[in-house]
Amino acid sequence: METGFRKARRQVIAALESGNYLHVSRGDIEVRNLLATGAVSACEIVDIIRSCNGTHHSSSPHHSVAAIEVHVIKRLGWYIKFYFIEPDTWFISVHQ
Amino acid sequence: MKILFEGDTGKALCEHCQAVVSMHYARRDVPFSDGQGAAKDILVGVCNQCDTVVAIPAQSTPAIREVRKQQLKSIEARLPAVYLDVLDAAMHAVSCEAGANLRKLFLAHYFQLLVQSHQSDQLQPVHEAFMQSLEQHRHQRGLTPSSSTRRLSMKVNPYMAEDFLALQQQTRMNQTELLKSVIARIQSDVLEIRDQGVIHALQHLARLAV
Repeated sequence: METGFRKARRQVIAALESGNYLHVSRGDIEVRNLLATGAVSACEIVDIIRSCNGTHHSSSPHHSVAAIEVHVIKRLGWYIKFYFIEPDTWFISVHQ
Repeated sequence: MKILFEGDTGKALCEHCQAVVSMHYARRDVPFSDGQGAAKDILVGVCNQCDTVVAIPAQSTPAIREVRKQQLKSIEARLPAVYLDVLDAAMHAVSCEAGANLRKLFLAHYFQLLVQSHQSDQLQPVHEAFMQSLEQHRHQRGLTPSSSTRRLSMKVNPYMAEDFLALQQQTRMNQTELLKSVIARIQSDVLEIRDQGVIHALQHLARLAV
């Protein structure tokens, strides 16, 4: 079922604030994921996401598992891509 | 934060298996995607089907960050000799007292400038233009490309290392390509465009340092 922008924003902010989130890996550490490498803090990403409205958000089915909805937030030069596999929040990419 | 332990389990989308799979947490050495080293013995999620690392929990980020910072206590590269000639020429154009000893300062200034002004995406086109210009000059004079190289080696402070790392992450360039691109940008600003704002800032820096 599609997750609307507000629900996705609420969930992703809660994950970032609690520290309960994961980064997608394909066997390595994606250096462009600045949240995974610690080049940007979760608090900074929360501030960016809080400043978003629905126009900064889009979503589409994952290319290999269509039941998973991939969310993309583009705001202030940031590109934040994530999805949810209950109960976890997964970041694919967080970069500028 | 829920602290995870080796042996904890969960679900993940495995890109190798192209499916939602069960995973378990374990300690592994995980390479960086740019090929520069690995974070050793960090806690990760591993696919139960194919044994690929599929998850990096937030609790492993401090260890990853530490490794990336350690890697950059020194910046070293072997560059085509012409790049260091151009860098030294640009520094000399700014101040006749600025020599090879100030290379690090000029590069640090540019790393910070490029990160803070979000201009890293302009590095590649500037570098391509520079390479084309070199090629054109060689062609006009009937010269073959030189294989001469010179070594650039700098011990750097954490701020410079952080800016360099941020630029590497933004551009996905390796150390050598990034240094070449930044030198091309300095060449463009100082020797080609003669940007007075940049030249004055560099002159100010040189005066403080010599």
